[in-house]
Amino acid sequence: MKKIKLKNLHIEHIVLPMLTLLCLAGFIGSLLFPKEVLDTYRMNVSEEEGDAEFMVPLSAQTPVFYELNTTGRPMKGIQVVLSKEGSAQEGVSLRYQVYERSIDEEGRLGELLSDNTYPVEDGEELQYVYLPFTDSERCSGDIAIRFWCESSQELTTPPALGANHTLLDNTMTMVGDEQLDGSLKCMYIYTHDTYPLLYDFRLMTFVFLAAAMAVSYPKRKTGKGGKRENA
Amino acid sequence: MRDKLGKGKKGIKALFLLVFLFTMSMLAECVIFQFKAVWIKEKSITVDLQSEYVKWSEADKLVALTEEETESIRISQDNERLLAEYYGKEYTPQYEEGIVEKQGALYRQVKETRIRFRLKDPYYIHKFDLRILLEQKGGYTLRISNNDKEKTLYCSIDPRIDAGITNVNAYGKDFEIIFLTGQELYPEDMSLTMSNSFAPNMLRVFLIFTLLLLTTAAFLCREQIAQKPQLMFAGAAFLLGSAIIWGVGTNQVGYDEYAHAKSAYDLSFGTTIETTEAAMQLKGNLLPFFYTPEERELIESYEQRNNDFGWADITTQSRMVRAENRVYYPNAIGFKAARMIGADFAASVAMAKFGGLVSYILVMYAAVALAKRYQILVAAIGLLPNNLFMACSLTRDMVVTSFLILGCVLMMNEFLEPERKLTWQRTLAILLSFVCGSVSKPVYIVMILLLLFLGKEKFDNRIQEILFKVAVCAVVGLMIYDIFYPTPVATTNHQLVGNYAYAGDKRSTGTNNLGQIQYILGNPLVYTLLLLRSMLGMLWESLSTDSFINYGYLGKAPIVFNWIALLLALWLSIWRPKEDERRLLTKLHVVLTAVMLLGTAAVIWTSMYVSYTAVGSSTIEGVQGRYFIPLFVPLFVCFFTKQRRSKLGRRTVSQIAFLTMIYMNLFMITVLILNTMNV
Repeated sequence: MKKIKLKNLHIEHIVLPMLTLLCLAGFIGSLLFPKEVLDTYRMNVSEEEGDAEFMVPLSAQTPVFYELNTTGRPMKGIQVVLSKEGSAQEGVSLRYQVYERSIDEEGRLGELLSDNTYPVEDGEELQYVYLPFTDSERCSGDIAIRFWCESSQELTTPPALGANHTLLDNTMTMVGDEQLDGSLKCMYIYTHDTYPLLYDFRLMTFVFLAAAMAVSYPKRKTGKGGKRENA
Repeated sequence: MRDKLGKGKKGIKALFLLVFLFTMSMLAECVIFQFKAVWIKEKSITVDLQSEYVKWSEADKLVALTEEETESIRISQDNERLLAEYYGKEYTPQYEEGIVEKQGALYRQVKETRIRFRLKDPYYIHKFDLRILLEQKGGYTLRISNNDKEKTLYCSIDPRIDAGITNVNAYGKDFEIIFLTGQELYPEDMSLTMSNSFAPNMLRVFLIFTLLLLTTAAFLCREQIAQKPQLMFAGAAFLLGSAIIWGVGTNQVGYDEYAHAKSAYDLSFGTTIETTEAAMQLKGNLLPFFYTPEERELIESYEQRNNDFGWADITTQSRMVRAENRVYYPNAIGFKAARMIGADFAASVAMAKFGGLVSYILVMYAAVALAKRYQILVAAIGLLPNNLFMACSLTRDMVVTSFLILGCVLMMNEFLEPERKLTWQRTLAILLSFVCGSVSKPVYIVMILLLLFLGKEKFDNRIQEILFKVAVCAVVGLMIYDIFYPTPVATTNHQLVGNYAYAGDKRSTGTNNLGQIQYILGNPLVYTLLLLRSMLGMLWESLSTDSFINYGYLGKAPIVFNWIALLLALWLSIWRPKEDERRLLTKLHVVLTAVMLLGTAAVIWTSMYVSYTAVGSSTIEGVQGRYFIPLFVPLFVCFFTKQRRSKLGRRTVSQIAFLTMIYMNLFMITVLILNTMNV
């Protein structure tokens, strides 16, 4: 029977291998459980020289469409410039739906992917508002976002979306049936995974392993008068 | 009891000595440097620029932009083009107002205004103080003449302080001031004062005091310095470093200091960053630059006015700090401490720099203390002007250099004592030093591959040796892997940032990591020749024409300093003090160390070719001498094989080494910091 006498064990004999294993566990854990974070793309937020921002009013009758391609990634939401146009906008909601982009000749919208509401009165007078998509994992590929306003009362001063005259590739802004000479000012919001502490854990695993290998471990003894063996 | 009395007496003596040295410094300042102010007493003059005796004339002119300004515009356009390409927009280059392109070169449209006047009698001018309301950066050339003696000076004016104050130090009777500005000038917007008043320069007093104190210490405490050179290193580094921080103020003269300042400033906050206007200018390399103490006062006041957190810009950042950004903690702690005590902006910057200096001194203190019989060599490297200047800047280099030097010292100790068993404490210390030193510049980690050549005597058994070496390889492999495939962190534009096809240093044009690697792999022979030519070229330049020793963008030391430092290091490596025991590196280890040094140097050059140089370029851009400083310890340890016994004792050797490095720094501080922006 091979034995190690407990009195020959020092703290480093236990702590260093334990730390190595702990870091290894942390390394595996970090890989297995990534953290999802928002990833913002400032697609159209500033005007070129000579251009100026203008407002596209929102109404129930004439929705605004914004078509884009998500380059294969599910889109988490969009940030647009929303103006209350000097009114409190009590009880006014911004509705925004995400559709598969229409491909048929009649110009009909594709399948509804996400349906959402944003209470306009909650926001500031003029600000970039984050409009998250429910079922965002479906909002991928060629999509169209339809914006319009809903209110229980008649809208005298409807809220508006900010736009400019910049034309982006693979996007189109429509007001009703007419194409806008420009684009909505917006940021695309995606997500990506991060691995907090992965870098540290995987590096420290090997640092502690190296340190653990510089420790003189007690020799194991075989039973009766047997030879000493290395641990 | 007697011991206590003895200590008390020593303390009183030391205090008297300090007071005496300070008094001597003040006397030297007043008698020698303020001589003109005391001897030629003149009252200050304010010139009435609206007077009929002052002649004005105006003309339009085109002034060529400097290479630096042109390059800055080109880089900015290149980055805008890349972004436009990524977002699918058409890119048209645009220039700011007043910039015109003519025959491929860029010019600025300016107005030249000439003002001439004459005084009744010659007047001795120390300070020429011109206040003017400007909308854009400008400057004036001052021509002063008196009895056929003419002097021409140039002074820049920053519109944020509306003043340009310059030192004349000459008699003047006829004056001509030539302005190059972007606007029309009016006499009522301008005031001019000339003076020669008594104003002791406290920075100069401090430098004289440092000179006297360190020289006295080198003679009075020879034994202590010989036994514990780390104490003298720490004292000298702190005093010299303090002088550098004091003298430089908020002038941004460190290598890419603005980029490092941004990282350090942001790190000093939690998840919400409050950037004041002054901090924003610091991050953007836009802070006004001073050349005289009077301008400094105006600039610091301007910065403080713009350091109001009440209207600071609010941004957020991830709670998890990127691994490579942790090296900014020393500077960040300084910023944080400054905010906690309510320090003004200039003091905040100084405290952030002190954070770096203190961390550098602590790590190098350990390196000097732990060096086996080559402590003085390590202390001399620690006091190298380049290192000291970096330690006093907002940068990550003080962490990189100090930890790598500590790691090298610990690693070379193992090779100098081949029979001594490796311990876990020393292993951890070596690896952690290298990891801390390489975390922001991972190419340096290849240096620890030398540990693979530790002999079997160092280990308990073969399995432990193999596992140890596997772990070392894994550490190197993982850090190198992270260069190509960085661990994703919370960021905006993740696809662009994480897209290797777009990766490259945006401070340089035409860079593309992937394209450059493909070029190297496609032309291995061409690249190898380029690499060897560049390495040898830089080595030759550093030894012959281009001084290696410098204070960042402030300037370089005379070439003779290169030779002094090199000969000192060789002398310390080859001749050991007579009482020291001989320590040799085996020939095999010398060869291996040389291979490691060459390999690391090649990796550093290649990393700059990949990340900082335009694809397929026939030169390697961006490599600076400071990148090789961490290699100095193993380089000079290689010379131990030829070690001879010196006739000089340890006390004399340490005295010579310390005083050489201290005087070298004092000379550079005087010439590059005191005389250029503090008198």
